Amino acid sequence: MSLVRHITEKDSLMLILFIQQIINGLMLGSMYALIAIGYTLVLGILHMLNMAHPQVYMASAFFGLAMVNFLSMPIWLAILLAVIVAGLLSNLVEITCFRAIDKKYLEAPLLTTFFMGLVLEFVVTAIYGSDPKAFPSQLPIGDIQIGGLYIPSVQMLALSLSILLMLAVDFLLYHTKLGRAVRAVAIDPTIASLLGINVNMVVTAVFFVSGFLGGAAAILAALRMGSLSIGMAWGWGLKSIAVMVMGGMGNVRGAMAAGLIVGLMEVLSIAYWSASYSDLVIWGALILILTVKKGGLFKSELRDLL
Amino acid sequence: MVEFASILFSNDNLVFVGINIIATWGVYVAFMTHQISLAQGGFMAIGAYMAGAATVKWGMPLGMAIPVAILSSGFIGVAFGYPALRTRGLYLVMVTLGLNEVIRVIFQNVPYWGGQLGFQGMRGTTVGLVWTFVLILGIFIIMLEKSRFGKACRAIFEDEIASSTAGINIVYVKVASFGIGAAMGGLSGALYAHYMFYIEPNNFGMMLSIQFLLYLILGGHQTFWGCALGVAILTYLPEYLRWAYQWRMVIYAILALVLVTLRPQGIITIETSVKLKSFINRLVAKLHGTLHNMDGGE
Repeated sequence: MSLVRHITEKDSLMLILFIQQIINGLMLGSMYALIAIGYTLVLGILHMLNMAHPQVYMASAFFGLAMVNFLSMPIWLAILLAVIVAGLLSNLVEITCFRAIDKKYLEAPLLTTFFMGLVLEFVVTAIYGSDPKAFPSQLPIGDIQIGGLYIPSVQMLALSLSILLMLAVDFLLYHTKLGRAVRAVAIDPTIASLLGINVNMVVTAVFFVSGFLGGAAAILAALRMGSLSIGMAWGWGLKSIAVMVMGGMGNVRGAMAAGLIVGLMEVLSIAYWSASYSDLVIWGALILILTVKKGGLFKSELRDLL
Repeated sequence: MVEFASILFSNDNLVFVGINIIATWGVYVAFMTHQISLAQGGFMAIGAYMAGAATVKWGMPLGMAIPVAILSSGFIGVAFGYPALRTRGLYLVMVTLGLNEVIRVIFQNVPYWGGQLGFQGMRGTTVGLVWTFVLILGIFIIMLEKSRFGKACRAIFEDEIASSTAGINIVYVKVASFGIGAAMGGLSGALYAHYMFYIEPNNFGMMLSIQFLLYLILGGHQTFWGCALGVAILTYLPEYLRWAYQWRMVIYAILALVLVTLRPQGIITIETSVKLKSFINRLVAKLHGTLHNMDGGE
C-alpha cells in the first residue's frame, strides 16, 4: 500500500517538474521568437541580415538599468523607456549601416552592421565593464501557486507579455494598413513605391518594431534572471538567427513557432540529458533540417538570398 | 617611428597576421565557388586539436603533426561539403555556422583533449615557419587560379547552371574547393595551437569564423592579396590604438565602419588591381626611359 502511494507521489512530482520545464521552455522560446521576429522582418524587406540586432537589445537593456541605477526611476518607466530606446537605436543602425550604402553591394551591410554592433558593445563595456550586473527583479505582484506547481510572478509576467507582443505583431502585420505596406515592400519595393507606398517610412517603421521587440525580449529576460551581461548579445542573438532560419526566412509566424520549438528543445535537453550538449541538439537540428528540407521548417517568403 | 616599427614587427603580431591570412585564404578558396563558409573556426579547432594530440600525446615532431592537421580538417571539410551542397546563400551560412558550433561543443565534451579545461603543451611555431606557409600558400593560390580548376571555380561563381551545361562537374569542384578551404583552416589551427601553448574550445567559437569572413569582405573577395590586406589592416588597427585605453575598441570599430562605408565593394577589387598593375607598368617604363636618357647623355 505504502509502495503504491510512494510511486504516485513520485510520479506527480515528476509531472510537476515536467510542466515547470515546459513553462521554462516556452519562456526561453518566446524570447528567441521575439528576437528572431526582429531579424526576419528586416531580412524580409531588405533581404539583408542585421548583425547589430543583438547589441541593440543588449545596449537598451543596459540603458534601462542605468535609468534605474542613476535616475532611480520606477522599474516600469525604465522598461518602457529602454524599449523605446531599443527601437530608436535600431533606426540609428538602419540610417548608418543600410541607408548609407548602395543597394548593389550585397555583403557590405553585414560588415557595417557588425561594426556598428561592436561600437555599441564596446561603449557599454567602456561604461559598465564586462562583468554581469544585477537587475531589479522584484515586482509588486504575488507569485502563482497551483497545487505543487509554483510560478514566480516575474516569469508569468514575462511569458504573458511576450506572447501578447507576438500576437500584436501578427495583428499589425496581417490586419493593418501598415502591415499590408510592409508585406508589399517585402514582395517588391519598386512596385510598392509605384503604388504609392512610402518605402523609406515602411523601412523605418520595420526597424523600430524590430528593435522594440528585441529590447522587450532582452529586458523581460533580464527581469526574469535578475542579471544583465554583455554576453547576452551574441549568446541569444546567434540562436535567434538559427530560429529565424528554421522558421523560414521572412516568415514571422514561422519564426514564432520555431522560437517556441527551439526554446522547448533547449530546456528539455538540459533537464533530461546534459547542459553541455544542449547547443549540440539545437545546431545539429538546424543542420539536419536545412540539409533535408531546404527552406527551413516553414515556408520562406523569400526566393533566394545572397 | 620606432614605436610604429616595433608594433609592425613584434613577434605576436607577425604570427597572428600570418595565421589569420592562412585561415582567411581558406574562406577565400571556398568563396571562389560562391560558398560562404562560417565554419572556418571549427576547422581551425580540428587542426589545432589534432596537431596538438600528435605532438603532445603521440610524440610526433611538428613537421609531421601539420600534415595530420591538414588531412583531418580537409577530410571533415569534404565529408561536410556533400550535405552542404544542398544549401546555398544564407542557408549555407547557417549550416556552416551550425557545424562550427557542433565542433566546438564536441571538443568541449571530449575528455581526451581536456574538454572545457583546455589542452596544453604545444610549442614550436615561429614567425619564419608561419610566413613560409603563407608564401607557399600564396604561390599555391596563384597556381590554383590559373589552373583549369580555378577557372571552373570562377565559372561556378558567376553562374552555376551555365557552367554545368558547359560540362563542369559542379559537385566535384564545389566539394573540392570547400575541402581545400577547410584544410587551410586546419593548417592555421595547427600553427595557432603551437604558438599559443594552451587552447580551449571557446577559442574557436563562431566569432572567429565571422572575423575571417569580415577580413575577406573588407579586403575584397575578388583577389587573394586583397583579403590578406584586409587581415593586416584589421589585425594591426587595434594594436595602433593602444593610446586610447578603454575607448580603444570603440575607435577601432568606428574606423572600420567608416572604412566599409567608403569602400563597400572591398578595399581591393579587380579594377583597383588592374589600375595598380598599369600604374606599376608606367612607372617601370618611365624609370627605364630616364635611365636610357642618362645613358644617352653620357
